[in-house]
Amino acid sequence: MIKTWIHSLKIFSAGFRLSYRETVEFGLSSLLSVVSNLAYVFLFLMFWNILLQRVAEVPGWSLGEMAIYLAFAEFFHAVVGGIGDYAIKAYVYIISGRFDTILTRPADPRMMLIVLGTNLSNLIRSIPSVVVLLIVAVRLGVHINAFGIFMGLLASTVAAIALILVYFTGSFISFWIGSTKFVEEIAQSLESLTKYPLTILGNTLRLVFTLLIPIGFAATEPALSSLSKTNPWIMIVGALFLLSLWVLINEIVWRKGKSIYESNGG
Amino acid sequence: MKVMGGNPMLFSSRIKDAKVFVALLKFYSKLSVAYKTDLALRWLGYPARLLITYLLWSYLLRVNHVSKEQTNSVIIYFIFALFFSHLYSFIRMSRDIREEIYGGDIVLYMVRPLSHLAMCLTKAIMTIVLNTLFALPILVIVGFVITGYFPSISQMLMLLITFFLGFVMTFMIYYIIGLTSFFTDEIIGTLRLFMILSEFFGGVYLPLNYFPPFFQKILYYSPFQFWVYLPASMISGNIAIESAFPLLVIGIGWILLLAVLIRVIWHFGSSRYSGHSV
Repeated sequence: MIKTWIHSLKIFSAGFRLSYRETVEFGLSSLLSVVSNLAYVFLFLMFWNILLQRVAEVPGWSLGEMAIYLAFAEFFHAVVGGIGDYAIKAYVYIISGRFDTILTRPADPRMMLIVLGTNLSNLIRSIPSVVVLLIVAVRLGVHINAFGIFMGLLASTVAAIALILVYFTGSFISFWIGSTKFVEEIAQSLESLTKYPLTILGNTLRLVFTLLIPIGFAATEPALSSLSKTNPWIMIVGALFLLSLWVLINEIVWRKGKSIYESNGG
Repeated sequence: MKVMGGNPMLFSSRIKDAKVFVALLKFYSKLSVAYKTDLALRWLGYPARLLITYLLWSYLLRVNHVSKEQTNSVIIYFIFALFFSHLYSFIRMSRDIREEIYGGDIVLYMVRPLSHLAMCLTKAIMTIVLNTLFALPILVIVGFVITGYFPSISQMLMLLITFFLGFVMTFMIYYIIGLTSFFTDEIIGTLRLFMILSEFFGGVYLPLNYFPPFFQKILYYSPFQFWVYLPASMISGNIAIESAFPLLVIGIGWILLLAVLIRVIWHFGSSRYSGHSV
């Protein structure tokens, strides 16, 4: 068991090293990605500023608090984009038959896909944005709870892993129906939910997107935790419950799908 | 615009180009419907995003006691704004061009009887036509039947004109970004930056008439507004039809400028291209 874990860690570190070399190789593009991320957070802060000043009030959220929310959203996207790139594209391997090459390797195919999809550039490009947003929040007079931030980052990471499992599950449906390109569309829709605090959706939808689909723990609950508006321990328990649920669902779909896989077309 | 790679001097060559164009349209239409379940489920994303936007705006406008008419106008705007932004993945197209240049496949297009630009355009047109046909029932039900809003004929006509301008312009911009792969190894950073700017300043998140006046003056001349903001505003009545005519002139000006840029970039890019990577 320990040898398996060490072996897995070696594979992960190899993936990160390769991704690091790719980031350095395409240095200009990586730099532009960082700039584009900073542009995104700046523009989105501007969007909320325009909305709050010229259009409407958002009950429970000031501009500074929205900056905290955006910081967690950026962190969440960094983790999902950093290790979950191939979770959505796994169906390509299945329908083309290239999945055979992954199945025959001495490691869990899902882990192989995660390693293949490791993108350090996605992880790194969000760091300046998160820092800038936190500084903006402090400058706007928001009182931040440091323990709440730490727990929020933990919950956001757990939510990111759970969402990657959701994507994997969606991709593995291709074992039965062929191309599941629609998973990309659903992924974009789910991730677009993280642009706005879920408190605007009403209680029922907020519950669905918190306890069934891991969007609530991406940024809304972590932000509320950092602002001392929610209990961080209940938040962590909820996030871990959600992760366990998706580990179970993913395992069932993966085993059933693998058992009917015949190569070349799924 | 001259078709690159074909002989522009002979009339028969034009007819041949047209036949190849039609054959390509048929091919891409078959490719798009090869996986029918996938095609059906792909449009799940649109109502989902529409729902999120609807909930956000109806919540904001309700807590701020905005009138029902104004709320309806905003909702209708976003119904169409999201539809247009969802219609075609220009980023995917740019990335595909990058892969073709980086992998050497672009050489094949240089010896074919139809230009690379025409082939990309054909694929884009077919994808948009199929996506529109597929999403039309949802759009009609949500945009017209449920809201009870029906645009006039002139609004529909202006929608088509502005949509056509917006599509051509946006296609050309992303095509140019793809072609910059002749000179650079990776374009994802550029694509991301442009996508963020075009979504924000194109009215996907917020109609441009809510922006401060200073921003509105600058954005008036930019190409961003043509793909989403202008068509969505035409159909929702956000912009008066008369005030759109100067914008059409600006749009045509942008298209001519982009056409020149494409020719220049293709000329310099293909002349230094070695057929394998850059």
